[in-house]
Amino acid sequence: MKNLKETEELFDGIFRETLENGTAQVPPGVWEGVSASIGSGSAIAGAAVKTALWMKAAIAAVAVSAVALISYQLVKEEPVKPEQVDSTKQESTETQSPAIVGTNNPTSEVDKQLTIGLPRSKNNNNNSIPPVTPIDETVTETPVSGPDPIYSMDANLVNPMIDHSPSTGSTQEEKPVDNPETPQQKEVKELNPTTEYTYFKDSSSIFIPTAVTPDGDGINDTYIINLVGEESVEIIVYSIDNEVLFRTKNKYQAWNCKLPNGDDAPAGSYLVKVIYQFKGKNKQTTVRKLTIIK
Amino acid sequence: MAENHTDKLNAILAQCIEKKPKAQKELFDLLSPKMYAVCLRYAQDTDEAKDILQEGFIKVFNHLERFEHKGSFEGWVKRIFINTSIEFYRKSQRESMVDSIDDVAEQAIDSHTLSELKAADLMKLINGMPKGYKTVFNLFAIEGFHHEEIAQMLNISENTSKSQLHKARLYLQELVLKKHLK
Repeated sequence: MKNLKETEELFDGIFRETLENGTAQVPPGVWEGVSASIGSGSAIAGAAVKTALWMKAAIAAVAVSAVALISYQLVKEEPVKPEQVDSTKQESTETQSPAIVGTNNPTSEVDKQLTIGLPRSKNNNNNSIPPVTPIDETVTETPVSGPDPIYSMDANLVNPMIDHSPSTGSTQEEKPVDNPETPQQKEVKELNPTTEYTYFKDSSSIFIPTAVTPDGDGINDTYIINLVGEESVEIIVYSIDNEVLFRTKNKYQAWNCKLPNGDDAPAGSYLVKVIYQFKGKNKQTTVRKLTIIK
Repeated sequence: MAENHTDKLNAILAQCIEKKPKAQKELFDLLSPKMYAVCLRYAQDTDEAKDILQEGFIKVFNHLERFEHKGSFEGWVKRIFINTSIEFYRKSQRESMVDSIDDVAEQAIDSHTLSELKAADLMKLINGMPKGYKTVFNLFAIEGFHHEEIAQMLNISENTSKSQLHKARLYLQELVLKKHLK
């Protein structure tokens, strides 16, 4: 038997020799991202970046004013019908963001990736407002809330899957909902076709499922949320009558769908409140409807 | 031949500092396969590796003029990628360095079996490791840093670095054994 140190050195050595100078096929798209960020043909990188930003702003400004001008002329030329004015106004406010997006060619790939998270999802949230259901009132009136306003999270905690379901509430009811698919919405769909997670810049994420099936088939039999990058978390499940059924500060602890008296919780609606804090962020609270399906 | 190579590289570098797009692309093509392999070793998945690769190259190009032509250029670039990987690691330090494999059999592995494994297999083994182990193992065994340096880079104690390395080895050994038992 060789001595331990020798064995270890041999072991490491095999990895080193094989992998030290290894190569791998580079995926496409990386160079485009790099070249967009390093600025070519200019003596000073900083200047290049500044120019790019300035140009971006200028192009955006021109585009916006062009749109404004056109819509202004439209309004001016056409005899004023109340409906038309409305739609034109709507158009001009809504075109603003596509106009900026349209000129985003100078935006670097990196920038784009970074900004995907919050602002766009926020748009999605605002525009895809489902009909408000009674459950929201229950939520807003819930006296169990801690120091945080229950809906303080909605702008940040965007879960496309949940947001499209009728159970999610929103305070922005005055927004037009009759527009089936606004440009922003389309964009978000393209970017994020199936993702159920909310990604933050630092790759923290949270996913709060909205249904659980405790039927003993081994799939989704217990309720657990998926959370990454948190400093602290507290998960509380309430019955519709505001009775606390389950409470934990351990994200790995699942709710077995039992009532406090040991009976199985009946099928139906429940509420789950998640109070969590990502590293370096403020504490946030979100409430979702949870359905038990049997 | 080697001189020729260095001269050519220096010419490319000079042009890159002048931000000539063609030279930048050339340098990228020259280095990216090797550097991507480095990124893959550290990253949690290919997406993260891609991000590290991109970020690393942006740094390389933006700081080219700081390269002092002491030592190899490739070594300098590699160090940038390692540092970038560590930044990513710190940012996404999800699981803390936990002891999850205490029950691994303390069995010394026959290095002959190991040497039959190909690079691709070894990469898979490394990528299967928990991130804490992976980073320390990469830094120590492959890059050849000392525990003292690793401790500073990762902001952990020297002893943690040592124990992480030990656990990484055990983990790898167990994986290799499993592979061969199958």
